[in-house]
Amino acid sequence: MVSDNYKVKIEYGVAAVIALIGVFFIFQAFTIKVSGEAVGPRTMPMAIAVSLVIGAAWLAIRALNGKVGEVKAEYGFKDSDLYRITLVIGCGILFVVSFWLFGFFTAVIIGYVAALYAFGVRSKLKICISALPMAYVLHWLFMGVMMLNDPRGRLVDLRPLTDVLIGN
Amino acid sequence: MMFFADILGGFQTFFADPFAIWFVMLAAFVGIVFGALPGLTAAAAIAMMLPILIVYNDVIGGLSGLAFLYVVGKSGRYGGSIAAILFNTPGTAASAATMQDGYPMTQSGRAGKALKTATVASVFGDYFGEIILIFGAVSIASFTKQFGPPENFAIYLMAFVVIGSVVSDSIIKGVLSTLFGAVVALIGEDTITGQFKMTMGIDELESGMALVPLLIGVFVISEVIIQAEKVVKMKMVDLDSSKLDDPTAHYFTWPEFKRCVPLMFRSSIYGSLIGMMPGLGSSVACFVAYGEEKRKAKNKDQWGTGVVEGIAAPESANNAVSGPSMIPLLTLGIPGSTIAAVLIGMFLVNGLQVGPQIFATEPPLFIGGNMMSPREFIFAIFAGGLIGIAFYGIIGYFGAPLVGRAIALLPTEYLYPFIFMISLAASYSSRASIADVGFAILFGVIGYGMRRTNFSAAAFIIAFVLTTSMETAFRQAMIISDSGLLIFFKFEYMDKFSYAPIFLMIGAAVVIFRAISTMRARKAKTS
Repeated sequence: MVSDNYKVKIEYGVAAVIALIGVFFIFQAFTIKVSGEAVGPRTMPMAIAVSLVIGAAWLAIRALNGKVGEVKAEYGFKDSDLYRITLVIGCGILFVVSFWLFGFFTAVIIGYVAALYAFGVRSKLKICISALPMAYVLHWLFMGVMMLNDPRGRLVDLRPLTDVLIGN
Repeated sequence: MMFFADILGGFQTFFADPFAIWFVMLAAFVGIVFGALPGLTAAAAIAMMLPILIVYNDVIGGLSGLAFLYVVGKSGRYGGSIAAILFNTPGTAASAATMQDGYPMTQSGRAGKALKTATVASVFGDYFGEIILIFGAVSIASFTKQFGPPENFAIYLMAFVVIGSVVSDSIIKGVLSTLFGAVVALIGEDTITGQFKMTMGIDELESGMALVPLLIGVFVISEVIIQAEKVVKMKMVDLDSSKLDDPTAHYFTWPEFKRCVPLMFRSSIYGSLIGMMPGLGSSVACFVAYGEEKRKAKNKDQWGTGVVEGIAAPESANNAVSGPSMIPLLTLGIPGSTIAAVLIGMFLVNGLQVGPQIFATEPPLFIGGNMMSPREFIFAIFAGGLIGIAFYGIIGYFGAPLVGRAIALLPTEYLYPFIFMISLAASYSSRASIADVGFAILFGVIGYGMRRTNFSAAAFIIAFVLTTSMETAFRQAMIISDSGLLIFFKFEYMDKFSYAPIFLMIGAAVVIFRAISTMRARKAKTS
């Protein structure tokens, strides 16, 4: 359970993040070319981005006055396991990078092995036994059955091999 | 009489589709399993399956795909009760109240009775809600079809404000969640001028942010992160009740059913009313029904120790939300829930714009390989919903303990990496873009942050889906307006009556009411 003080700190952080998002989109809205109409393509993005900044200021004022509402279980990041969060996000990034470098099939193997590690599986045999069928099934489903574009890896093009696997 | 003819026609259309019945059956099962898996919801199931259904829409027919998603939403709500009763962990937020009496019943060896009570109450509530939907939506749609751009914009704005103010514990956080969804939705090509907006120089964003990676990010990947933190195995209490003296420990008996009927009826009314309000979902309905029925009960001291009424009330209420939550979608084009928001995309894939025109009898459209009017199509989906309820009722009544046992045996350390990989692949499949996988991961982290700080992922998604239409309605209204923004506050435009000020007043009233009730609750707590 977190304290009120901790929640105030978190709320300041949240307000800052939202303000940053709002300011970022205000700058982005300025890049939109204005048309001749009274209400052009910039109006709505600008109005929403400004509202985000106002909302962030409201949150910050609320935190300043200590009116952050009820402190509930699972609120905040005190119980968060940063190591595991980083591992999961890392697995995702690893999947994206290996997809780009080696193609879908290899990315699934690498991503799945990394994800199993993140979830605490350490048996090499179990990892190998589960990763290969997993890659095959997903490749068959998405590239074989759904016939999605299977882009070539920038480093290695394994498509001649993986296409044979799914019978293309 | 026309309703009955429409419903019969709906069943006829439904049974004429060779895939529809199978997909509804599959949806009943898939929804139960996903709902029963703690942390995973029907929305997560839909997010992962949506790309597959879109790709195969022409093969399986639009009706099968839409009926599948619709029924997954229903059975997913019910499935949550299995985890609540057996594992003391609500499978979905909608079944949080069910835990209070469900788990004590399991601990006392009456899990079978608890599960069967939940099934019967869910089916009762769902049928009640479905009837409200069928009769309510058609009547309201005949009134709302006369609306023009000013009313449409006012409705969208009202929906934003109402959803934002009721969806979260904090009004400001709910509103900020909708604003964030709105600003993300505005990235991409402008609908009127065609210029690219706020793309940050990323080519993939020129066609805007896709719904599927967003859904997967905030609902699935954020959950995978949370599960990675926990890495705990679910423990199920032994279901063996053979040692108990009570021969009815496995059954929801006829006297119990008769005792619960008035309660289920009242709870279904609460659920239906809450369901009609955009943003207020099953999680609110279940607690309102539980609280109200406990207050009225003669045996209120026993509530929380394992009474069937404590399961019947929240379960009939949370499932009664399902049908009426479609009313704002079908009559105003406003999704009342995340599932309804996803359905908009599936309707569009089939060439149908959600809103009152969906009940039009003419012109016939080529939908999913058949020529039919939008009205016939929508009534076929209603028929699918009615059949889907029966399917999940049968599966749940006889198979819920089995589903529970299977889930307890699932090795979570393999299950969640598997779900993670499927979700990454599904993100790619929506537009065959590796960038979309990156966006899904990014929104997974954002979704995790939102959950940890009480922001609403549902409001974010609903706003994302609505914003483009809202912007278009706003600009169209401004084009026809000769008094600028005042068009939204006047009761007349282009020589016809305008309802726009009424909608804006309703939105303002809801916010004021919510703010006052929050302040009162805070004061009561401090005093």
